[in-house]
Amino acid sequence: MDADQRVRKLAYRVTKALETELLDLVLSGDIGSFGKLCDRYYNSIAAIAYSVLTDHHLAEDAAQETFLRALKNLKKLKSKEKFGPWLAQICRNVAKDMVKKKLRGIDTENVLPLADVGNNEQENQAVKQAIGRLSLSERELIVLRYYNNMSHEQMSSVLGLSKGAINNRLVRSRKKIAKHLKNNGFAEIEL
Amino acid sequence: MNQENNKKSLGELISRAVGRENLKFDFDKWKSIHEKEIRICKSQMSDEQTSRSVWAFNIWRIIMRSPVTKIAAAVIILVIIGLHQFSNSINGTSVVWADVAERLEKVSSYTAKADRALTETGQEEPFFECEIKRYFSPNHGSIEKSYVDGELTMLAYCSISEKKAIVVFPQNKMYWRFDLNEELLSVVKYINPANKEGIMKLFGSERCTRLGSRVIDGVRTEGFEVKDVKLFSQLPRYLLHPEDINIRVWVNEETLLPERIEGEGFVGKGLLTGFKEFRYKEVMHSIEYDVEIDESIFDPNIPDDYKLIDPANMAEKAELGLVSILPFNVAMIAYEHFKKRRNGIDNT
Repeated sequence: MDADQRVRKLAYRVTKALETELLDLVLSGDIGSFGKLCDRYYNSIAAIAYSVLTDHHLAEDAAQETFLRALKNLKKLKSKEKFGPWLAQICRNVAKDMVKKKLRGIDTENVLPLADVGNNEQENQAVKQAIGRLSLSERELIVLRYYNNMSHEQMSSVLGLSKGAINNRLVRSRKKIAKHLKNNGFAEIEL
Repeated sequence: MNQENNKKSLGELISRAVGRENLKFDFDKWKSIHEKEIRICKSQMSDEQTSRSVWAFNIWRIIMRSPVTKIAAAVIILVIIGLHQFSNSINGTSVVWADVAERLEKVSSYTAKADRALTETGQEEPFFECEIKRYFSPNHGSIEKSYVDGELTMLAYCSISEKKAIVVFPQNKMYWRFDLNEELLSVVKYINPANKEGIMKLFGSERCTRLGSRVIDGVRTEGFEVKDVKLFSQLPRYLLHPEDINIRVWVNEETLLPERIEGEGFVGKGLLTGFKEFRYKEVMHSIEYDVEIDESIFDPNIPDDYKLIDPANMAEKAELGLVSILPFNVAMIAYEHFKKRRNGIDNT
């Protein structure tokens, strides 16, 4: 492990310690500290919601609903170290609830009718199709990674998985996507 | 296309398909939308928790905000511990140190000045320098005044009898007042570097080397040095990572009291240093013992237009700096030491 890795590891530990302190503050009635936690997790929670809802606006709505449910149930959180994964699970439930209610006719089994239209729309649609064929957990992982270039540390924090496990699953998922793209005429994508 | 390029291009494709700009959570808006639910949650939580965690977190987040000032203040412990712990662990291997210890038993107060400098690794010029004036009286407490470029930037008061502490930031016209309660004392003890490897134990040990004689401000002194002192051993290394700490004490040959104390060393990457490496140097000088200190100096006498800092909002107050607390740690360590000594004397 080189110096930078050690520093990153230390920084991660410090971050987790800070998070625990933030949670203590929230539990003592400091709601402003909850805002800091929301800031910290907003992107990852929105990404998880997006992997289910496939709509950016709905994903943000789901993230905000997730935070409200989390705040209401914070006292039930058994381990503060697992706040991220706990939040992620609430988010999955929120997103699934939204799907059940068929908000705006979302169908999560089909792939992503996003608003990103441009020259590469065909490519985008193909990639979205490929992602849509992944299992929910694989899809979640891929979206988390590429939603806004999330680091393995951040993913580890919200998923509660080791970085090694995340890396292995990402490799596997990417291979599946590449294979799908290749089968659909993207010859330059090689396995 | 090789595999690396393939991975990259696949990543770009996926990012383009599902990626987004970094989202910013609008907490105020969210709070206003869910005002009622949040109010209920807040009231429930407030009823159940004490402010203990608030205190603890304030420490953390302020440390995060002002690494430079914090490490600067933390370093003070190096020197002052050297002054006050002399008599604690002398093991008798050095006649001189036994004499010094005996002499220090009789010291009741002191004033001193100190110069502190921090220099980033690879640089020649310090990026932080300050001058310090210290006053200590076991009956009244301690004061530390910090000056940067001649401007008074901080006064740290500690009232031992009342167990209260006040930190004043004249440039900001702000002050911070708090009790030196058990929680703070636990922090003090946690940070106390003299828990296991007190400096005096080192100076009374075989590791202590003589530096010979030197005239300081016309006073003939005998120098002693201990290298690679292990301080802050109780502190996690990700917080503070001091290495190669050398401490030199120059003892007045006539009075057998420290005339000058020098501490220097390397501080590796850690939270308190903002994950930077630098060297520090602190020289405590102009030490006067058993001086009469005007009692009024221990009265903070805070002007009416100074604003009391709300600890809950401390993090938003920018660079005021928690480590201003640390001088109180030092004072409390000194206080405990003096108390112990007095009790010891009383018992004999």
